[in-house]
Amino acid sequence: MLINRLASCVIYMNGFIDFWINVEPDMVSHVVDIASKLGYSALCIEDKGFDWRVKRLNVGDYKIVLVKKKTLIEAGEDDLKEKLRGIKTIYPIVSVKPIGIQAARLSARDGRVDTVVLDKDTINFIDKTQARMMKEYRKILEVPLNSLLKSSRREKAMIYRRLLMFYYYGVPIIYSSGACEWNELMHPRSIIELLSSILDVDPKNIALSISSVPREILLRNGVKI
Amino acid sequence: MILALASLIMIIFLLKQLFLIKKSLNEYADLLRIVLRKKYSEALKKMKKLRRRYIVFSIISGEKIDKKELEETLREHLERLYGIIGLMRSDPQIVYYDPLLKRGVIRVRHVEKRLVIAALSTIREINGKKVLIIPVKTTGTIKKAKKYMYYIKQG
Repeated sequence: MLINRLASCVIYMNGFIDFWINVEPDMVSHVVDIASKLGYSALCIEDKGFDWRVKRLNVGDYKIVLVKKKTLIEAGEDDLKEKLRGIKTIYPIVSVKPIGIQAARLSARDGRVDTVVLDKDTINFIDKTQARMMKEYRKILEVPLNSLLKSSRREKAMIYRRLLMFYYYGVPIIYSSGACEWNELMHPRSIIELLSSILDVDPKNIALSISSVPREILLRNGVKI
Repeated sequence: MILALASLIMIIFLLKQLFLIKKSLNEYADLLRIVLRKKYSEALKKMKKLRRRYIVFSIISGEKIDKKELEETLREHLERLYGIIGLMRSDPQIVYYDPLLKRGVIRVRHVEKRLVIAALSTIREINGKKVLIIPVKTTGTIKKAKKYMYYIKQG
């Protein structure tokens, strides 16, 4: 019992991280304000012409870290390779949304790619082979919850099956909000309860997916939290 | 004559045996009835132990939110997520709501509190007004919930 308590303390001690926020530049300050109220310690914001790479802010008593992120949407291998050239000097976090089988396979084995996005556009290209490759190359699967909630019934079922498969293969998963507006942000506790009830996974695993796993990626890319 | 007498005695003996069996069966039936009644009353007692939880929530929105609108939206979202069974089992009720503070308390069954917390996060609009609902704290009594609600205000 005590060990469990200690383990959960260690999980939550680092704070929660929202790995993908896709808002307009004028909305960023409002989103940061709300995210600090929700208890997030770091946010990865999709690049829309920001002049910073990593930004540290003080919102009241809270300290929050903003990290610039780039999500590449590509179908072909050559196009993706070209876009990945020199990308790590500008963006600390790079995600790929593969809309083709070749791009999916390349993103699974390329060292510059941090996460592979699973949503309604990419379900058809993320399969068993992809899961095996991602496990081999230690890649992380990212699931934007906004896209999951907005998708159709059939797409939701397909995403659900793929998530169970990735859990079976032991690939680490990150759940991000994928918010395009401030009201699409989600409270970490709500995310834990929602996903643990849907996927029937231990709530601690979900908590790790929104705290420790994204934190490890940020640390790996030289971002201190 | 002797045969008739013997058969009569036999019939009387059998009737007596039947009577005895019936009596013992009745006793068993009574015993069974007592046991069943006891079990039923125990089950009823267990049924009465419906525990409640009180979820303190806070709303982030630029517009005024009505209690009735909020409750209807919550039920709608809960039904969409977990179906009619989930809605009936959890039975969420907004027992207290302060429209000025935009904070309130939801009463739910203790087993299904997770469903309600999950459903709260999926609410993004109430009658076209953009909202974000934060589940702040879960308590066991309404007194504590109210205390916590106003404690945040002071903090």
